Order: sequence, then structure tokens, then C-alpha cells
Amino acid sequence: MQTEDEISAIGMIIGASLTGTRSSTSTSGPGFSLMAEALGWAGINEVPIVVTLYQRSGPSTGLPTRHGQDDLLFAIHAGHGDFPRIVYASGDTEEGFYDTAKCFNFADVYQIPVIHMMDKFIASTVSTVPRFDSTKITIQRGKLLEKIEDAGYKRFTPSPDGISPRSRLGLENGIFWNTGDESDQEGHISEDPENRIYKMDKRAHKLELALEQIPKEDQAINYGISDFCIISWGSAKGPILDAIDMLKKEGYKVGFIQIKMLHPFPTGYVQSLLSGVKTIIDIEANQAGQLGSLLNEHLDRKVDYYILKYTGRPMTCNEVFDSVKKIIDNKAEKKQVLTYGV
Amino acid sequence: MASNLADYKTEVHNDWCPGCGDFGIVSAIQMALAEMEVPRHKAAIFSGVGCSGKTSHFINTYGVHTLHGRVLAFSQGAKLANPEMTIIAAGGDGDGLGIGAGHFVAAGRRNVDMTYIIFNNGVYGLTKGQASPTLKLGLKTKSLPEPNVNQSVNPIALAIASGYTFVARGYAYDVRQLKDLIIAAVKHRGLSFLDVLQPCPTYNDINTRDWFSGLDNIDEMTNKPMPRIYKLEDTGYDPLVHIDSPEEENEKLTQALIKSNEWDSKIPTGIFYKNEIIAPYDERMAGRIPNYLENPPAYQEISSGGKSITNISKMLDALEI
Repeated sequence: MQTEDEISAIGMIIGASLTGTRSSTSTSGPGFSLMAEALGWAGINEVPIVVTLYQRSGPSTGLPTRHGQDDLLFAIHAGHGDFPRIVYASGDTEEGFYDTAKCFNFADVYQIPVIHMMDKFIASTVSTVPRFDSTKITIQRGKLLEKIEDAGYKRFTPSPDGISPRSRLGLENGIFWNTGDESDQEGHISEDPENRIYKMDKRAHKLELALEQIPKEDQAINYGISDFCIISWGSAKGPILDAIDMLKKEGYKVGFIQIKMLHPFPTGYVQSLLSGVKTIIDIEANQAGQLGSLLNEHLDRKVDYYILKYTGRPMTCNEVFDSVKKIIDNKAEKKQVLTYGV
Repeated sequence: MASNLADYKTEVHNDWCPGCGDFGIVSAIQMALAEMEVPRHKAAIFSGVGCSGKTSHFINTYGVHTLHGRVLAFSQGAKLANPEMTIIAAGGDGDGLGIGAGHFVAAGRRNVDMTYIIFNNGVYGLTKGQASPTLKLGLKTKSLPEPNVNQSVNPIALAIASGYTFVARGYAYDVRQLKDLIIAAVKHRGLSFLDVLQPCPTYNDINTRDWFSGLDNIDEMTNKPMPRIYKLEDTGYDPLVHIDSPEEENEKLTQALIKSNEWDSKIPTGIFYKNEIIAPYDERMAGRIPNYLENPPAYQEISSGGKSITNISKMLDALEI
């Protein structure tokens, strides 16, 4: 379905999702900027949608044909007001395939918008990968209803885990209302203070539930822990893994944690992985060190070194190797900017 | 035998101003649904933001109160996923022709089989009466410090130019005609547009109920008011494109555009243009996906016992090296 703009794209997938259809759209930074308002609508109405955000270099049109990882904090914060969403990032093509299925499950189970982060480097890379095995994929539709026997259904009825059984347009006995306003259990506009607290807390609770229920290995990948440990996300994974091999050959041991679930942030798990680490090195393709700032916000310690690239060119293993080596040899500045590529 | 009208009403408190034209439109929608006997769960009212945005809460079918200007995006998405639903989108003229104008035009190109009703009152009534896209140039309604400095958009002409295949106008105080127009619009195969003149008693002190009734426009001979509103059907006007020929289509489009420009002393209501020769979007889609209508996305099974039942092996075979 080709829409006229990205506002229409997210509006249409929300409309389709209300019928019980799994629905998704994909865009890059400028388009995602246009989607921010409707993302909040999906959040307040607990509508499962998946938005694939394929990042290029911003701001504005930026370097429109080139690579970047500078939309992380925007994906986490896009939209006004407090509402839950999951932000999940894939590191390569193969992860992208299996993660897409996971993102749809997250959306359905938690009735929540999910932003699946990809980037130009992944999207424009032709790679040879093992044949995708769709039998490994599970499909979880959560509390989506097939049938409602009794009258009296209410869309936002309380339940022990905070997630209400979900009707869909067209289902008999399942009539509900949705609105961008705060609403009562049926979905009609309500400004009642007690109801407001119930609904806000009900929605926010999903993030705690997601952190509890989503397997740790899906939240972050531990490639080994060492005194010097790299943290990163997305397609920086490839050059980092190659650089670690190169460093190993020279006798340097370096750990690496790839964070996949960026929101809600797996604070406890990442904290435990990093507990014995002496030096944290953040590597990513943006100017501000956005993942680094997330770590600084959530952990009880700070990132020690930043290796950043924001020329729009992909990161190479050689420049990662050189800059990590400098850190281990105690010859590095706190922030190194990578420049390889014309 | 029509369904019970009361079944289509909710208990939700209505805070529209006394005398608001919106009441007539909601009644007409409820009456139309009852007369067509649309099962309540098979209908969904989508609405935009503004006074008219609350429409979906007053009708006892599925109701989706969306975002300012985006009602067509949400509603088209739902209709495409579940073509069995009767979908009515509703919103104000600011919603549909200001912030939502891009979607208004794009929707015409698709011709999705649903109905869009614009509550047209020339002002942004929920936000204290600023000039909206349909207020005429030079008019100074109650809230404006200076006369309106912008030209007005012509919703009927814009709908025709955008490709809507059913274009009509109703009047909020003629509920019987409006109900009939809504039924005709819903039954039309394709995207139907209904421009409803809906006086805002609070902020539009120029295009009032009395103005539409011609109380300021007294016939010198009879000493009676000459109503501005008239019905196209009373003049022998034929809106239907009967045959698939450019000449026929040109004639019907042109007469509709000319009629759409009437205002001030004579304001036509009724069906301006109707073309059932142009295929609705679902038929175009079925041309690509043959079982689209029998097995639309909303009813497709995608898993069994938690496992995917979609076979992607052909797609993967094509990529194998």
C-alpha cells in the first residue's frame, strides 16, 4: 500500500491494526519525524504497530544517501506525553529477519508501538547469510480475541498484568471506542483524575512487564566480557567483531556487549554484565554518543571512552581496531572521531 | 424493516452548544445505519478532531476518534484491512480541508469504498471560532478581529477534481434529506463525499440557520423569505455518469463544478456527481490479489500453534546462491 506521506502511513497501519491485522510501516528519519503524533495515539489507545526506522544521517535531510545511527534518542522520545513503546535494534541482515518477527510479537503481546531500528549500512549491504529458517519463528498474538460471547465487553478493562483482552473492528459483542483524549474503560473521553492515574499506570506498567518477560539474550548479546569492554548497537556490530578478532591476534583481549532492546533499557542486565568491567568503550555512528548517554543515564557509572563516526561513511574494522588499541595503550583522548572513507 | 434507532445511540453526555448543526448530522447517521440495518459491530465511525470529532462517541458502533486532519488515513487503513466493515469518516472543514487537505486529495485517487462527511461551518468552533478553510474572503465572523483575508476552498469542486466518485451536499437542519444522502453515499461503490452545511450557532454569526433560510432575503412580491438552500433534484439535475465515454464524463464533471460555485443567493444541496464506472480500490486490489475480498487481511490466519503458516520458501529460493 503506497501512501501519500508518512503521516498517512502510520495512520493507515493503526487503522488496519484496529481490525486485528498485523500492520507495519517503514521509514527513515524525516518520515519518522512526521509520525511522532500518531505514535502517541497508538500508545494511548494500546494499538500494536511496528515502525521500522531505517536510519540515515540527519539532522533534517542531512546526508540522505548515507549511513548514520543518530535517531536512537529520537526513537525513544518521539511524541508528546508519557506513553510506552519498545525500541529494538538489529545488528545485521540475519538479525533483521528474526527480529522483525520478535517486534511483531512484542507489539501484539504488550499492545504497544514497537520501533524496529535498522540503518543504512544494513539496508544497503549485500551479504551472504545462512538461509532464513522460518520454523524458528514463533507468532504470539497476545490477548487478541477471536470471539466474544457476552455483552458488557470493555476494551480497557483491568487485568492482573495490566493488559486488557483486545477486540477488533468487526467482532460481534466487541464494540469499543478509541480516542486521542484520555479515556475510560470503554474508550470514551474521560478526564476523571482516578481513571487518569489508572490508565497512565496501566500503560506504563507494560515496560516493566516487557523487561521481565523478554528473554535476556534478546535484550542484549554478550560476546565476552573483559577489563576493556565495548558497548554498541546496530550495524556497528560487524566492524567491532572484526576489530576484536584483529586485537586478539595482537594479544589484546576486549569484551563486547551489543544492546538490542534500547527502550525500555535493560538496566539490571547490562549493569550485571558490566560489573567486573574496568573500562567501558562506547562505539556508534553518531556525534553525540547517544547510546553512551543512555548508559550514563541508567547505570551507576559512566562511559569511559567514546569512538564515534558521523561522516555518513560506514565504520571499518581497521579504524575501530586502531582506536580501541589506543585506548588500551592509554594513548587515547576521551572521544575519538573516525574519519575513514571519502 | 429498519433496526431500532435507539440501538445506534450511546449514553455519552453531549456537550455541543444548543442549536448546533452537529446534532442533526449525528441523528442522520444513526437513522441511516438503522434504516440500512447495518449490524452495529459491522460499522465503524472514524472522526477527526474538533467539535465534530466527538461524533464517534455518540454512535453505538465501533468508534475511532483519531487525530486532527488524519481521519482519512486511519479509516482507509481499517477499510482496506477489513473490507466488510461499513466505514464512515467524519470531521470538520478545518480538519479535512486545512490540516488534512493532502489526505483529502490522495483519498480521491484511491476511491476506497467508504464515506467521508465534512461538517462545514466556516469556523474552528472548538477553539473559539477562528476562520476555517471554507469561510469566504472578506467575511468577519464573531471572533475575527478583521475580515477573513483568505479565499475559501470549494469542497465540492476539490472532491470532484481529486477523483471522488460520489459528491453530494446536505444541510444539517434537513435531517430527512441528509439521512437519504448518507444512505446513498454508503451504498455507493467507491469513495463518497458529503459536504454538510452545518451552521455554528456560537461563532459563525453570518452563515446562520436564518441566513440559509433566507430571512434576510425577502421576496418583494410575496413578502416571504426566499430560502438560499434548494435541492438539485427539484431542478431536474442528473448527477449520474451513465456511460463510459469522455464526453459524458466531461459533461457531468463540468455541470457539477458549475453548480458547486453557486453560493450567496442560491445554494444547491443533493448529489452533484456520481460515477460508478470507475473501479473502487478493492476491485483494483483484487486485480492484484485475487482472493483479497474473500480472505481479506483482517481474517487471514497467519499462525497455527504459535508457528507461522506463511510459506516464504519461494522468496528465499530466489535469493539462494
